[in-house]
Amino acid sequence: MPRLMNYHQHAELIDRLAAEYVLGTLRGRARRRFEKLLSGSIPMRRAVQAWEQRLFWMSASLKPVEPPPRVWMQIAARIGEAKTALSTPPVTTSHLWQAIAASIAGIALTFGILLATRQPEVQVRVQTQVEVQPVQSAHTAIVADATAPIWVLNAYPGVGTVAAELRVQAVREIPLADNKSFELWMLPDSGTPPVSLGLLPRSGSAVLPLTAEKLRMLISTSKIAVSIEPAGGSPTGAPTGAIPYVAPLLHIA
Amino acid sequence: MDITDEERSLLLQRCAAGDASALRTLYQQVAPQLFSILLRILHRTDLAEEALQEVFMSVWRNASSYRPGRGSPMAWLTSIARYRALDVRRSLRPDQFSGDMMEFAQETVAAEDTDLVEKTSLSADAQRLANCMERLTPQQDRVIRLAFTNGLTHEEIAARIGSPIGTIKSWARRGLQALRQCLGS
Repeated sequence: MPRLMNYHQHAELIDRLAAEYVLGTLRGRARRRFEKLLSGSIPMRRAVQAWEQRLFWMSASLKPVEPPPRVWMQIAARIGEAKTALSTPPVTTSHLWQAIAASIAGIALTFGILLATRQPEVQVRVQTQVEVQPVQSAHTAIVADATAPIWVLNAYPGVGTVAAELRVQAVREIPLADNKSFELWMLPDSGTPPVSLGLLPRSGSAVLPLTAEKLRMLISTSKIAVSIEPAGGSPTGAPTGAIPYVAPLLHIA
Repeated sequence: MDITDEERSLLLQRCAAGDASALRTLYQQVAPQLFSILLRILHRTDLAEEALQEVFMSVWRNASSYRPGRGSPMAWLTSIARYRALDVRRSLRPDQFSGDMMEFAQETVAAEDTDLVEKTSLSADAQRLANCMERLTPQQDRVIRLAFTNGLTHEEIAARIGSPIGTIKSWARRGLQALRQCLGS
């Protein structure tokens, strides 16, 4: 006949296993088994929590070590992804105006820097564009993670002989392997597959041309996304890699 | 650390509500302590950085499972970090680890005491544990510290100390029992 454990022995065993689990000396299969049991047993969870509470002070005596900034940058990029995947924050009027203000401020700041540092012919080009196509007429998107904007995008419908285009300004540089590119996509409201708008610059600015058809689609699109693709862009014409960022496209005019 | 348990607990509640700025503040406050814990167990900066990232992703996803009534937020955070580090160690092949391990073993034997903060600067609760640890036999104290702080297995401790594994297990068990009696439930 198997010998049954009485309640007291059982409680003692749980406490001993919990202590060894928290201490870390319960290893291998025994640890995995204990973890499985843990999810279904309130007494076991309580025993583990009590030991965690007793022992964690041991690490309070370790001297803190500052981690390098890249760790937080990676976390920030990832929670930006998680957040947009769960829900896109509603764009209220006040958010819209904040976004526009930030966008305009960002552009003013960037152009200020451009004017101060770039070659003379570039200065002329940038100035001309600003004069011909005022910021107020833009379709704007700000791609951001949880902490701050990454890219500011403004679409211009084109005037006369000037073709429509999407101007992109990288506000800060997000780490990415050299053999990868960030690609920008429209997510049409109609639910049809994403349409590529081109590659995003890692730093500085870029002008992405807009065909008449893409411009028409863009005007009726309320969301854009950024995917990570092989360098040079998606080989298939559809996003193939992770989509770390989704942002609303705001139609201001 | 500059913030109180209540503040940490509040930050966790804000994380549970999806407030990324709360995670950032929490990170600023506790990441250095958790990074130190991870480095002690993993020995390699690259592994510790990766683990720290995973720890905060886990905090972000599971913040709603933290219950303020169930204990200190630091105990919860420390446990996530330690279990993560133990999992990483388990997943490494011995050759990915043992070279560094031997070097590190020499360093940490020397550093077992030297990179600790002064006992007097610890909080009252931490001092309570420190006082109970002082009542253990030196062997029990050493085995528990090597297991908890350095993440060593019974086998590794046996090799380090040069005692049979059965002896190590019994020092650990008796040490834990004594701590439980000293600290109460």
